[in-house]
Amino acid sequence: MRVLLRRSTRLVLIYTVATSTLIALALFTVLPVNCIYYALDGTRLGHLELAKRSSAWLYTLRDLQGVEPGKALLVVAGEEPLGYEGLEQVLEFVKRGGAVVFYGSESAIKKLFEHLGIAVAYLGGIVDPVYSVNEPSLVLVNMVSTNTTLLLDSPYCIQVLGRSEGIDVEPLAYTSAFSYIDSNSDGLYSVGEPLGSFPVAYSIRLGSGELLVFCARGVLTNAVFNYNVKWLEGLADARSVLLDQSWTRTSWLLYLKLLVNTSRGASPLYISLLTAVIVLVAVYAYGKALEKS
Amino acid sequence: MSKSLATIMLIALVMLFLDVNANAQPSPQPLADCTYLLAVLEKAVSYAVRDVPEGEYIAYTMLKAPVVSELSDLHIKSYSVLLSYYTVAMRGVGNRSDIQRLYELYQGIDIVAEYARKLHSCCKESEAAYAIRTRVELYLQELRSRLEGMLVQSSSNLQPVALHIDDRVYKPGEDMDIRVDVINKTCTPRLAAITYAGIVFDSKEFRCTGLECVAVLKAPPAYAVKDYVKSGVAKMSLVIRVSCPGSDFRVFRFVSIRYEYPQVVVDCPSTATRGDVLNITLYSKSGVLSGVLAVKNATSVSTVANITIGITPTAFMLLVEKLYFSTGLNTIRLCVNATEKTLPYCFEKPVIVKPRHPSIEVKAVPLYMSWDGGAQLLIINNVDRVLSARVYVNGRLATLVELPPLNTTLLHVYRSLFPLALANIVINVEDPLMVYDTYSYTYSFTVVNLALTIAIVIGGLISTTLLQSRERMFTLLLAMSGASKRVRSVAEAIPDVLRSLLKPYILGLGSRIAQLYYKLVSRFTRLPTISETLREHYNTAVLSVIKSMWNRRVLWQLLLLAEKDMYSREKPKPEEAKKLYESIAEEEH
Repeated sequence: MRVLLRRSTRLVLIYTVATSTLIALALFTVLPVNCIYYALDGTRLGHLELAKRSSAWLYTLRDLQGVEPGKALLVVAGEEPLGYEGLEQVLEFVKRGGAVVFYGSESAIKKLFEHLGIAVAYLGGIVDPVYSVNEPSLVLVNMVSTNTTLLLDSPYCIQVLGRSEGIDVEPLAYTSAFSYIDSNSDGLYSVGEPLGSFPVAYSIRLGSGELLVFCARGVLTNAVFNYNVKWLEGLADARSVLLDQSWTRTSWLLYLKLLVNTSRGASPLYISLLTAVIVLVAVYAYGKALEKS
Repeated sequence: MSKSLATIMLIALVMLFLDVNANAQPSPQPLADCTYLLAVLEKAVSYAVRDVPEGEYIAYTMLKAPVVSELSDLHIKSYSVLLSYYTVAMRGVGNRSDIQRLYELYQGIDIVAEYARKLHSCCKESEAAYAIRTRVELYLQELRSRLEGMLVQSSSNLQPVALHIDDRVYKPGEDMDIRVDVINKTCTPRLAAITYAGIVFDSKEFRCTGLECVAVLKAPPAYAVKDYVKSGVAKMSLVIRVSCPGSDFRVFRFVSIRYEYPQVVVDCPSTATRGDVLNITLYSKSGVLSGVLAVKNATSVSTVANITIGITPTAFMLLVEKLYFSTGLNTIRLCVNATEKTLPYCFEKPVIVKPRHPSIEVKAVPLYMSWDGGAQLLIINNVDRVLSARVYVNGRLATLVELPPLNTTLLHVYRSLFPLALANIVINVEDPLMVYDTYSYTYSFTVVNLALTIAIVIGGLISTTLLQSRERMFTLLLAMSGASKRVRSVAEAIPDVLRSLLKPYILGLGSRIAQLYYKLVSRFTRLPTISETLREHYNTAVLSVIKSMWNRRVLWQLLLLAEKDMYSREKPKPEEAKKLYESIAEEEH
């Protein structure tokens, strides 16, 4: 009788643990996380739209060593500047013939330029009340080489002051003649603020590859993705798009979410496996505790 | 099983719901930043002046860009003008219809200038934006001159008539003789008109004698153009309509007319005192002028009179009263209307008005001692008219009285309800006829209410006497009044209060010796009750349980020490304690 009771208790325990784990993991997976440049973030500066387009993400930039440059287009976007090792990994990938699209905060871009030995000066955010979509900070820019139009989210002006020998930096995209540098960041034009066309993207050739640096908060982010997807497809051609998410390792929550997600969304297989592991551990621990008692 | 299925379905639904991602459609935002629009306008105009082709693109783009409704009309018209400059002026004048378009373009420059002014008026940094507006106006002036030249040049080259007019600066209202020689005999000059900013000011038909036609136009008088021109030379368009077989066309010229402001002298003393009569001398050096005389003070502008002035000086007397003048800086303003010869203008003359206070004396003393706590003031009015006084005591209006002329008024201004009070009074003496300025008097004094002071002193003395012997009762009452805020019966509250009140007695009034005594006693018997002295307790409780004489003696000595420590001014000396200790130690040995 006692054995029967113990067995039925164990069944109830397994059911309860399995259901609650499943619900917890499912909710944890599907609930949105607001973190800019995150692959699963659906807000303005997230990368959910890009992630949905069969893109894969990198948990660490060291993985680039195993990536064949001709088969991948790397997208690096960050709020915080990349560390020395990270930048070296990216540049090494470019030198091997890879293509990289780099954008993010002004500090991240400045760090990249400084790492390359290019002296730059930050002049301020760019606003274009005429050539913009929905709001003046979503600025339409013209790509010089391809004569295509891109939509950049919160572009800013970084002026190249000087560069090291062997570094080939060419302006890649300009804002319209109606844009201005909002030096005091008040969102309005103030007398004396420069008005005209400004470079907002640079092409840097390194080795046999190309680094496309955009001085903008968002290029392939959700708010502007639909406008730039054609350009991305043209740029990627047959290559797969790799999104750098190495910075998520600093947050276990973001990292775990990425682990149970794939580019197609939350993976039921991963969730089930994780649930099974948790249930096994719980049942084992319960059995041990029961034996002791 | 069914529960598991339901759970999974719920999760699936949650996932579906969260996966919805709406894509907002782009919508153009109307431009409302006036400073930005002014800067772009400057850029577009400067490109036009410098013949930069990119200017056409800027004008075209801005023409299509949506702006807020208040600016929309002028915005569209202005950029249409700039765009037509590229299409008409840059292309060159090839035929007569181009001349007409060129003329329309010339007239359109004023619209651009108006747009620049409107944008400047709504700029958030108006002063800083003024520089941009000035630059825009200079560019437009340049553009206007260029178009004038083009218009004259093309009109001369292409027309079948030759237009002759004196190339000089005309005066307003002056006759302008216009002579037209017909080159193509099939054409006839019909009408001559003088226009400015699209408005026709005068037009006449030609009278022809052979191939020579003549018309006399009047230069527009100043009153007709007062809203469009400022002092200086204004260039107006002279338009000649010529009829040829199958078509009518126009010939354009520009005539210069000098408009001026009148010369008027406004003279008066630069300072005046309230009640004085201000003599203002007015005369005109530009003929008879009518206008309005007004006084501008710190808060308002008051019209004094409609006047007409001529070459002969006119004296105008104005009483410096409060109706028109405030104390300090005032401005006499004469605004004359436009005449045929002169434009309207306002002339100003500053006048400093000094106040005139009524002769008032206020008599007050710093300390008032009265049985009722009242304080009085004497106000002596030395003016031969009734004045009114508002008395404010401690910031509140206490009374409003009339002060009879050349008389003394006694005012009861304050009554103190405290034995001692400080009062601050402000007396504003005003002249109902507003000849005098308000006289303000401020004073602070002390008021002693003798009756109340004596009553309080007596009451205090009685209370002290009564309560002196009932200190405990008084303490008890005090304790009861503040002991509990809850709704409790007195019967409930008293034991608590008593406990609280008698706590020091129970604990030995803080005497360490008493505490030691209590500690010792508590080992053998009970502690003293509330209504028991130490000696009563000793006699009843201690002696009944302690039979040893030596113990009784030790406790008695300790009691005496405790009493001395608690109640006597002379505290027990250490030698006494030592003596007691030694006696106990000796006994133990």
